[in-house]
Amino acid sequence: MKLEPKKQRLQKILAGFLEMPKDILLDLPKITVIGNVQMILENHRGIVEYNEECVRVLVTGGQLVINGEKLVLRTILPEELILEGYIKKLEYRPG
Amino acid sequence: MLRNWWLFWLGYVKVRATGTQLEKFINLAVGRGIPLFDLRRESAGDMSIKVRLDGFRSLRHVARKTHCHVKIEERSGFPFLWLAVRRYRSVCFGALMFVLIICLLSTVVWDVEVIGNERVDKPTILGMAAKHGVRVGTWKPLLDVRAAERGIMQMVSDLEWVGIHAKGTRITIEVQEKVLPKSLPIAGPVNIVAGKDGLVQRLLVLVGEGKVKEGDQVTKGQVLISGVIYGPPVSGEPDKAGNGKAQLVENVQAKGEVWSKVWYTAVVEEPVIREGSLPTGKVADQWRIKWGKQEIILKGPRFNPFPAAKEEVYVRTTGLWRNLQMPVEIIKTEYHELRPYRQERSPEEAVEGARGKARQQINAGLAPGGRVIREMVESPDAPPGMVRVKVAVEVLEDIATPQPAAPVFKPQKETGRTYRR
Repeated sequence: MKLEPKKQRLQKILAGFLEMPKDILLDLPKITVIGNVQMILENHRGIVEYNEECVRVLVTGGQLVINGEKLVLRTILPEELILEGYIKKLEYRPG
Repeated sequence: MLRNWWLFWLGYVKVRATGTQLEKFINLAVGRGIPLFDLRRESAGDMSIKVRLDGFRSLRHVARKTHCHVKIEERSGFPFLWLAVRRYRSVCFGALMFVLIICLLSTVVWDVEVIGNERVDKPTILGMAAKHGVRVGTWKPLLDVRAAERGIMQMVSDLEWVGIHAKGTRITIEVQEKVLPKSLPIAGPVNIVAGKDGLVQRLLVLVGEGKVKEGDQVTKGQVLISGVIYGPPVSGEPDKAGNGKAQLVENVQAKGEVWSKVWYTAVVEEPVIREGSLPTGKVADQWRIKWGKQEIILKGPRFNPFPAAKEEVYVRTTGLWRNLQMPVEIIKTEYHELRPYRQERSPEEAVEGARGKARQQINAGLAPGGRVIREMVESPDAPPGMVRVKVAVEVLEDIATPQPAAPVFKPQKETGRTYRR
């Protein structure tokens, strides 16, 4: 296992110690999925690919691949995006 | 919901973006803080995006940078609506005026009606009401209803109470007339005659001259108290013809009570065994609609479903508006099932039943205040299977009935007294 950078390790320890949510401190994405119809993704870094069957989104530490049907970006803001449609698969690809 | 509301006021446009770097286009736009929503990828190089109006200008820069082509497809929201309103300014003004005029006209009195008047005629009341502002065309806020009520009551002396209600554009003046003491129903002299045959028991003369004594047998129509009063003969013996000698004193309206014994009889014949039909409580409803001459059964049986039934028909017409009527009628027929019954009675029970019926018949004909003195029940012979009951009742009642009498005028020479009503 690769040794993590010193700053990141410190942050992790601090997050555990202070019991703070990791998405805020570590800048990790927070994904909320409601059934298979809606997904709310916070802390995204941009869209790599977008079409009706597949959406790829950059997040800290990799890419999030969403497969489904009739996918629609309901809202997109600098930090948050809401995806609607029939979600079939969620995949996390470390990059 | 709230987001949609805000979007409506700010306005938004639906654009179609075409190009090869659409993902980059989205990322750049988001990076600049342009609020995008409802992104829909339709094909490889084609996407429909909705964007708030305030972000649209920046979107053009983004499009230029990513070599995308942006075309407006649809404009929605208040700013665009406002533009349309300004374009059709006069139409909107007209619509606004229409509503305003309707509102204004609904505050004006359009109809005044009077209810409850019998003796006082309507124009009099309406005229008095108009003097106090209650007339067609008055602006309602200027109307002082209480003052008008008081005013009408002072001006029209025959009214006991006046109430004015305003309902919408209609004003209803409700009046209650004074109840005056009973005036004489007939002009001229009046005799009291017998209303029925009877035996006079007690005679009470209030006005007039009594013509019968207690104990007299009187027949219907006989004068009991005369309204034309003659004085004692002036001189000598009374003339056989009664002309001239007996001096006329006065024409009056006779008043009095004549309590007499009156007899009533009633004969009732009834079969001992009673037969008939009674409703069982079962009801079948049939609804029909009638258009002109055609009838269609909407619901219920086609024909009377019971062996014996009573039919009740209700017709409902559809009042469309005011006096207009549609030529359509809805007819409801109710079939009430009947069941025959047979009541076995002993002859005694039948007599008792017939007697009750006979008493009812007699009571219906009695004058108020009459008192039953004696009652006799006989059951004479009757055909087989029947009973016959004869009830005779003796009643003490007031048989006095006023009847107009021909006035007799005094000879012109004898002045001093005049004819009085």
